[in-house]
Amino acid sequence: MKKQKFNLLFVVFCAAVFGLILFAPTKASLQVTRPDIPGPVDLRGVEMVKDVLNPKIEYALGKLYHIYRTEGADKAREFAGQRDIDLDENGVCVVAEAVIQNASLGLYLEASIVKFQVQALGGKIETTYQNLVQSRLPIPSLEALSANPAVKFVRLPLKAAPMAEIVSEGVAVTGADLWQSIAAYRNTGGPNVCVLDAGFKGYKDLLGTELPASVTTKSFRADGNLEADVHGAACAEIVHDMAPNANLWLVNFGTDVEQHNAVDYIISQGVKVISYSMGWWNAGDGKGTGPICADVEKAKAAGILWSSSAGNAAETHWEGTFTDADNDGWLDFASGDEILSWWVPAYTLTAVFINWDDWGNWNGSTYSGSNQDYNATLYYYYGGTWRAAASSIGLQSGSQWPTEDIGYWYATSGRYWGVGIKKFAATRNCKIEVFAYGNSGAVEYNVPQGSLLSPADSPSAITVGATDWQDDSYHYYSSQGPTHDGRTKPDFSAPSGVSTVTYGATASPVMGKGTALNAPAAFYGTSASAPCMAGALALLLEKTPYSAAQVRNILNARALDLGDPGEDNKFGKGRLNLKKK
Amino acid sequence: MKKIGALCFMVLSLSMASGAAIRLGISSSYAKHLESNFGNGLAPGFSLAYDVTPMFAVEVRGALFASTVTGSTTSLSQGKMTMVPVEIAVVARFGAGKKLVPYAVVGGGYGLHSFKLDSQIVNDWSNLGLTLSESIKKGATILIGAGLDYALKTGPKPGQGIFLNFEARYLMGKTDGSWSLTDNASQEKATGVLGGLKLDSLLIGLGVKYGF
Repeated sequence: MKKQKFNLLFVVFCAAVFGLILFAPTKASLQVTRPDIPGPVDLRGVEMVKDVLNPKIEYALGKLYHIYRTEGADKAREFAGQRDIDLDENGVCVVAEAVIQNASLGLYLEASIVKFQVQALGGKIETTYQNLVQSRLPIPSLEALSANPAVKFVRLPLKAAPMAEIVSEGVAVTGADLWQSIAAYRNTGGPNVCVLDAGFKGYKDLLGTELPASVTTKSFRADGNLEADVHGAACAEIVHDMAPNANLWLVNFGTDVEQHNAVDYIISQGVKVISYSMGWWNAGDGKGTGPICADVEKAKAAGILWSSSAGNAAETHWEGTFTDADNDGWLDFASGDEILSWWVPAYTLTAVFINWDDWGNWNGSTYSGSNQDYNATLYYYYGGTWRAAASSIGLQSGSQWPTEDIGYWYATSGRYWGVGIKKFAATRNCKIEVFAYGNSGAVEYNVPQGSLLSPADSPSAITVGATDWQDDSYHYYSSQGPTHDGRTKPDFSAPSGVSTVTYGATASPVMGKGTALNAPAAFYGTSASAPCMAGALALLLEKTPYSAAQVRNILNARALDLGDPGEDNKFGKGRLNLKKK
Repeated sequence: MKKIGALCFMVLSLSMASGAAIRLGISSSYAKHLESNFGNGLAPGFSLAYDVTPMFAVEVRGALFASTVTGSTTSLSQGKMTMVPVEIAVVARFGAGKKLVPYAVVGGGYGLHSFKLDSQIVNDWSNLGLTLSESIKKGATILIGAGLDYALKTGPKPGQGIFLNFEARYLMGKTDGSWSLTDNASQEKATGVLGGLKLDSLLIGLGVKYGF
């Protein structure tokens, strides 16, 4: 009887296992069905009204002020939440750019005036850098601040985005393990390496194992929160894996002004290598200039090697010269199609960043500005029609940057989102660049070329793209060159999809298109590649007497050529390689 | 080496022509480097002395001193250093013709120094695609010392016979070294000078001399 019962149980067990194997959800069956991409759209007759026309206030801030005045504080808070504007009970976080009169003398007197004005208006100074004053200001005071003659422009802080979501298998792939085992020649001690990032959540748990037993930390965020994000901890792990004897500095920031101060601090600390896995949209002309690239230049002048992720924007990017066959003012992304669309999974934030080639001259602090005015509207496709979600209609009347951005939106179901771009007051057809955010799969009419984020376009940055650690294949998201002034970028590619304690091992589900950002996964993205390069630079500086420039040349010569023969805009000089060549 | 041979030949010829005593000696010394990262070891040597007077002699002497170098970041790396000091010295012998002859010696010469990097280190760097090399220059040496000659068998003239010899001498030398590390792929080369390498060493040895 017992035997019969056992046999029965055994059969049921086998059937269950067989059933599980047979009916296990495949990758395909787990994917949400995505409808076909909507057909071409003609936006003829769709108008945008310039409802905020203060040329000294960034559009989104002006809109916030306008909503506050006309609809009240609750609506303003709602708008701020939707646009990811940092607003709390003390006010909105803004950056006031002071007029520069005596920059050559290193004097920023106007910045002092601006600081005084901010305080007089009930604001609180968070941090300053040269002519930039970052403060938290009550919304009603925005207009008054912008009216001060010492204020050139009031804007939201630029914000960087971590370039990942992804052991450092890269150690063996690149040959770093061989270098780790050799005694240093004409050198003692590891170099100082800084991971400059958004945050280092959980880093204390990694000390002595995944990180050195002690590290130097400093937060330049206004709130002083070093653990604002987990991303930097994973980057630091990879640097440590590659260069175990390096002395690590973990430094974080939240805004462009905070980053400027962070870089000054890093230089003062005798750091030799910076690992930077962050990227900025709309922060420069793509020719290696702009405030973020200026930080890289400054670091290089101090003898620092700056390893920068290329960006994960290859599939999010479109660029082309403004064309409008039907003369309705709307950009044709393709013949007869005036909306560039992309698919966004449910509950995933989406945004769009637009800029065009009318930045003017970079003077070391800002651009002279644009007088070519284009505007943009974000659409979503629902119920068989495209519906406008929001517009960005910033003014470009000569001194403002040629940028528009709209974010952050989400929907409770997966759907297509899109952007339309309208020439508002432009005398020439500019070259327009669009970056979508939150898309699963490539944007429509995707142009991966030129999809670098700032400061990956800096000639002083060692820009690193992503390859798979297992087979050196190109990772679809890795931003490509060339820069807008025609230089080849990235400089190298380096392993990605590697294991870290912070993000998990490669045995975890691989992060693919549309995977939730908090899904357990290996460390994917050019964010994983940049610290691999930074670690390699640190390792060679530790083991050899070579100068920073020589180390870079050595890596140039040893790179494993991939893709098209020679240097190319996907892999640069090739995959990072420390082995004998 | 030809010059050394010529010098020895000259001393021998001079001596035979004048009838003065000549002593040929061989020795083995324990050599101790005064620099901590240079190892100690045995140094075989030779000497050829010509008695200008019963009390003073001119001596040509040489030694071969190979030592291991433990290596440091500011000096030579791990390897083997060979010193071949060849010197001309003046020897003052006190109580020539007696059974026990103490003497003092002062001289100077030229050190044929060389250095060979540890092959394991060279191979390790080679495996990474880099060529590592280090060398030291030849240079002047100064010698001061004192010793005792104990006559096992005396000859008809002072200085002749067979002697057992004990000697302590201090060898002073300084030289420069250089290093280079070349990446073979990029031809990037890092070089440096190891200035003022102190080669001072103390040699204590036993030997045998034959005077005729």
